[in-house]
Amino acid sequence: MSEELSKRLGFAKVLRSGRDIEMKPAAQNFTRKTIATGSNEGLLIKSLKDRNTLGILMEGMPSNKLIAMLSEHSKTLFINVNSVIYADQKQQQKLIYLYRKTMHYCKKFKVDICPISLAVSDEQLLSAKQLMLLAKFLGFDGDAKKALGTLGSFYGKKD
Amino acid sequence: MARRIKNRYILAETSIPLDMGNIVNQAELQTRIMQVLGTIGYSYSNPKIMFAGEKQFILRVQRSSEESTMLALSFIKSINGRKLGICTIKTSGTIKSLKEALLK
Repeated sequence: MSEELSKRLGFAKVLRSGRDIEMKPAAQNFTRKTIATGSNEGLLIKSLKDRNTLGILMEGMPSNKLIAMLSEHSKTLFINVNSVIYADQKQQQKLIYLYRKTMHYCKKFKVDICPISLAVSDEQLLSAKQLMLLAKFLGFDGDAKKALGTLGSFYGKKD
Repeated sequence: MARRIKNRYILAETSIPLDMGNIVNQAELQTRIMQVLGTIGYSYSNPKIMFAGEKQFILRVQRSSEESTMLALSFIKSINGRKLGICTIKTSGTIKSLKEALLK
């Protein structure tokens, strides 16, 4: 994505998976700043202890234990907003319900949430306004603008 | 005393060049918005295309349903069989400021 397009969409910087931030299946000892993925809760909880883990990408409904561990280690829960948009109609309704329930628990345990788009092609791109509105629609109550900038704050940090 | 209807204008951009000045494409866009918002939501929003360029267009909606219409635009994945995505670039109370922001 060109810088001009990213500015037009309302972003200061667009981070790319694989280049700026890694996204890998949950394991320990990541070498770079990584977002852990996967559905095995045991592995996800282990990866939260790693210093280089920024947080986990939500796949399915995370248990209360996982959300509590996220809060304990001050890690972030990343939500792929495009998974809701590009799902079938029946699955869309289930996903929206799931995300809203998760947001409710994250608010209870005071877990940071960051909506991301994971766009694969141009047609999946979303502007900053749309991301904020989608996050609010999925139940995000807090400061949506601050949540969008969560990844950016990690990117600028030096170890 | 009757209140004046207040509108908002949304500048949106499609991922592929699509002539939104074409009546067929406009009707399809309105149908898609209605599918997402429902009949009631659509009647509150009352969207209408005011200006169309190669990839960008300006949509007029009622002020109270500005956010729901922008959300509905995110859920549109194709128009007349052509896959696309719609991004909302800017919103304003006047059409003049959006025309200035249009790509030349």
